[in-house]
Amino acid sequence: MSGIELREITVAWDKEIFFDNLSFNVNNGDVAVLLGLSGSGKSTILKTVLGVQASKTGRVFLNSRDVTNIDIKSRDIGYVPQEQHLFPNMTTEENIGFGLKMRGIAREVRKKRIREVANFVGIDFLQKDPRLLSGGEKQRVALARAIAPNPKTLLMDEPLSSLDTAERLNMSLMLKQVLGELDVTTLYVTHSPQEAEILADSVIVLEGGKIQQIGSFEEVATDPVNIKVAGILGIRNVLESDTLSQFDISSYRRGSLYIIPPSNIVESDGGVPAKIISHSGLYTFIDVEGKILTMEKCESKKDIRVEIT
Amino acid sequence: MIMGRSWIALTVLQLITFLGLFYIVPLIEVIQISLSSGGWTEVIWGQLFITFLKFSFTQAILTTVFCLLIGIPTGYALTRLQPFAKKFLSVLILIPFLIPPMSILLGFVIIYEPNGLLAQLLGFQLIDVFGTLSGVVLAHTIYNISIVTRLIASNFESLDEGKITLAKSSGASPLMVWRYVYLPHILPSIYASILLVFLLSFNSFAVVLMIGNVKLQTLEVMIYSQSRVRLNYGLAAKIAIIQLLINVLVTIAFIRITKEPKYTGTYRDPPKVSKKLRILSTGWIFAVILFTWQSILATVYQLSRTSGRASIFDGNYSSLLGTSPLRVIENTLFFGVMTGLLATSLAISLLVQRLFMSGRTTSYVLGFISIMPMMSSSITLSLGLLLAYRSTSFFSDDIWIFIVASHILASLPFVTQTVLTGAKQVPTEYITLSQSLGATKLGTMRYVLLPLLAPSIIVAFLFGMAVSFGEFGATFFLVRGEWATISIGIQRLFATRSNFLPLQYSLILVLITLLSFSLVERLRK
Amino acid sequence: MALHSSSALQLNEGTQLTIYTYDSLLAYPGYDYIGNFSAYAGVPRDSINLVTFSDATEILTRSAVEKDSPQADVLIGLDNGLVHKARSEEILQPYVPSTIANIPQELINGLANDNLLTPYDYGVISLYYDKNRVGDLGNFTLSDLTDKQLANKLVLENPLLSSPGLGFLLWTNAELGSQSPEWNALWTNIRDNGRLVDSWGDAYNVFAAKESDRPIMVSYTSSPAFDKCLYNDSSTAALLTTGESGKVRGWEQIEGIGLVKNAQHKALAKQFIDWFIDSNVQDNIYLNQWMYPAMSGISIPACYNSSTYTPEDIIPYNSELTPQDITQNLDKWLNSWEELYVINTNTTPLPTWVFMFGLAIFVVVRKKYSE
Repeated sequence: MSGIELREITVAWDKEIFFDNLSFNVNNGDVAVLLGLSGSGKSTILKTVLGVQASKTGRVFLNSRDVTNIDIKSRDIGYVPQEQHLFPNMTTEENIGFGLKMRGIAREVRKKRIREVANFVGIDFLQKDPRLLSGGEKQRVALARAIAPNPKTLLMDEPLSSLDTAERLNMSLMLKQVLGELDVTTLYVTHSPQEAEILADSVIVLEGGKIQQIGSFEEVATDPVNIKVAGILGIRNVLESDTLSQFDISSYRRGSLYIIPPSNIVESDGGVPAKIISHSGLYTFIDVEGKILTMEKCESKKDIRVEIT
Repeated sequence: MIMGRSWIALTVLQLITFLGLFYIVPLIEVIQISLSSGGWTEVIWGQLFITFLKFSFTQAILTTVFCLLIGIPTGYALTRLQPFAKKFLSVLILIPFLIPPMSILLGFVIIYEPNGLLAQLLGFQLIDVFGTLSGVVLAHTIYNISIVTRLIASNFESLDEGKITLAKSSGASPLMVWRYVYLPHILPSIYASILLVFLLSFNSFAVVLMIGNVKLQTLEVMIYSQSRVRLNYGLAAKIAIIQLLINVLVTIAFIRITKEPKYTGTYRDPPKVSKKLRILSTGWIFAVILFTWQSILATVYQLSRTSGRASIFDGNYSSLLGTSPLRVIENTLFFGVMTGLLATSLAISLLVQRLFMSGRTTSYVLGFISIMPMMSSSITLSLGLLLAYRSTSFFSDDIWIFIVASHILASLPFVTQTVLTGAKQVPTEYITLSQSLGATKLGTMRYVLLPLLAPSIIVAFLFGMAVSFGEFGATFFLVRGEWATISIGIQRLFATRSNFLPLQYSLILVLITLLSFSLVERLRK
Repeated sequence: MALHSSSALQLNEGTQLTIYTYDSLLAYPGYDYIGNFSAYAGVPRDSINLVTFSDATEILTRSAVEKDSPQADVLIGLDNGLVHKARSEEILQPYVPSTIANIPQELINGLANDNLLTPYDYGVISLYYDKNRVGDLGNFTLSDLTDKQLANKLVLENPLLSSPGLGFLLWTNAELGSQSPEWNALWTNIRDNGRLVDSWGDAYNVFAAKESDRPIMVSYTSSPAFDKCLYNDSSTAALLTTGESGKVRGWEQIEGIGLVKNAQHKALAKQFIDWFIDSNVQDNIYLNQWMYPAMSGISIPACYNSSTYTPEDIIPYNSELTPQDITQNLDKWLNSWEELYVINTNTTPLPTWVFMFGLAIFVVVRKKYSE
């Protein structure tokens, strides 16, 4: 059964077309990660599902229900925006309970539900002023607020982008657990392949206004359909043709691309010249015949010779 | 949901009804009356008109020049010459601009009349202010220097210190620094000052009415005189239209000429200034403050000396005022509160439309409201109200409705600006979020937006109230019966200004206006 | 230029009559015409709404504003200068009082022979001065006011705002001819040296205050009678233009009472008018209103004749400046006066070339800075 479906959505603004006949489907209960670089329009798609962005043509289905012309508040959606946007004039508890209040749920029932959700998401600071919370805490509250009314669909717009790396990992894992336990279809927008790796049941790779590839993370990461996808996934050493000096890299072929794991590029006196560009913590970046490749960290400073094994 | 739809429709209705009834209809009425009979050439080439037109321009230009000549050095001294007690001086300098013209006028006359304070001090009359160009220019300058100084000072604050250092280290003389660094940088505020002071002086009513002595009239006064006194409505309407055109043209010309203020760079403390220079700059600023505060000080001084019997609780002046002196204060407060409430409510209506309805219509209405101040002088508007509604019983029995309406219109641009600016601080995501959580538009307004906007709304209310307190022109034109306000009271008691009551009134007016504005400042932070 | 009014009582459902008049009507020492009418007509006193203004001119403008929905029933004080505008603005309706026989026909004709207004008093506009501060001014003609020294001592009312002020203007027009060289000379001098105020009340305040040094004002020939009759003070006198054979000349102001067109309380209004031109009020005009009663047959108090011109001495200009003349020319005359008053050599605005020059500088400077 379909949880979220976009059918032939065209979004245009002032003669500029963002999406032309875009379609995809997310199964009920799945977490779909909409992966793309900044400016690829992933937030716009999210907003179309949310109901804030109007589409010129096409339809939006939530749980097989056509919601294209239905306003936001009736779509039964939970929304976690990029900046958590906790209502500053309410306490944390009131924030979480807002959706319940708006739906007319009685106070006592509300309180109970709020505690339930807070526990679930790991919040023990219900009375704290939302402005005083840390980034991670705010994010939990935003999540709690979104899921408290038990929506069927959950939309998350780069929720972890404002957190630091340590928090980001923690939150990703927490999200994984939470989303797994909830009976909700999630569309999760991010540019981070790590988050996709942790969270996604399916990955929708978006670039240039088009869906480039859909699949599990493993599928997309090992067999990217084109170089753009490879770039988005952060895959290293992706080449479009099999010519690289005298080396035969045909064995590294994945679909229409050639992907060389960094560990297979080694220093060797018999190899081809490679200019060292820079070292990072784990890798060394080299220039081989004009192509930038990544190899595992080596000690040399200047130019070396490498070979592909 | 029907409930949801209709409240937004109500706000639209409120806005349209108000603007339609009290702005569009009167304006159309004036246009219609002006076109109804010929005689445009008589108007345009008429002796009176040409003289008053020239006068309007002359005094406006002279005022602008003097305000700049004094305002620029003062703004410079305030920001760059490190006067002592700078914050305190900054506040003092702004105050005279906020004070209603009638209060300023009273003090002004006390000083400069033939037997006034200045004549008593010097032993002779230094300057004749009644019916003279110098008198009007002096009064206008006293009133407007404050705002020019403030604008220039603000602009100076964004000056990039690096540029100065660069210029000086390249050997630039002070004159060159002024010419190549300072003046170009403060050009935006100079332009803004010119436009503001020119329009305010060109359209001046209270000052010219009271000290112009019939001989000198701005077009605004002429419209009043020709309509309310001479009953020549056709002529008055024609002059009103011409004045409108002039205002529109001047403003458009200015908008085209001026550039957007370049607020580049953040303020860094300028290099230390010698003590001598600091003393000099403090002295100069203090002198300017005294100059702009002279009316207020004269009023206070005169109050302390006068022992006239009339006061707020006295009945002796009831016939002059049209009602009891206390009632005059009540009227002022009543109008103030009504104006604050209704203007703010209209501004919120506008906000609702901007937030919840599609863009085109609201941006038109918004643009319209921001142009409004330039497009209609208060006298023209009052004339329109008179011509449009004189036959209704409301106009006869309940003139206060129209007085409040004119106050609302006078304050609407400021009030709207305040509310909308406040709303800009609220991220639109809040609305999306609120709706995603199931809130109706009304619910979003009630639980999310209005609480967040509360400070701005209060500020807007106070602003509306303060504008109402000080309003003179429209009130003067329309007021009848027991509805006099403090400004009107001062004007009616003008002849007896040595007595307690007008002085008291003036002071009260100053105090309540200042209170409102200081609350505004407090809440802004 | 201040116009204002007051209302002693508020209009409410109990109001049976609304009267607009000026605040000095029958005021010194004071005849309570409201109280007396209330007793006479058997109408409660507080059902009569008296609204007073600083001048009859304001009565006119206010009524004109309200004419589509009139608040007043009776207007007291519009005179033979203001009647023309009242007629053209259609604020009155003709009414012939039952007591009209009290009033001489010539007064009626001099004011309004279409009965829009009924005369209740008259006076002659004259200069009124303090002999102690000015000295005796002897054989006077209007042209004497072209003397700067004399005009320096004069305070007068704005003809646009004040009915005695208008009367004075009509006097000068009648005597010298509007816009004649003598008229121009006179008014130029008055403009430059006299002091103009809004109303008779303001003028009197200036006149009375010694430090203002304006011991001559525009008032009525009966004004010295006020000082003589009430205070036995002979220090003031009136001044009219010396004419032929020992007569003096001036402009006669006839004040009228009228019924408002579409008034809400016509019956009582008519009764009031009938009563106002009858002996109850008219007997009190000399010593409370300080004008001459319109009703014939009332003997003039001795203190009048000993303090100022007797009516027999005066030949008004009114026959030479007929109501028809005034109807035709009043607006033009007022415009001429205003123009003269305003085109003032003392405060010449800057010549046009200064503007052009300034604009040119502005443009040049701006161009320089935009580079």
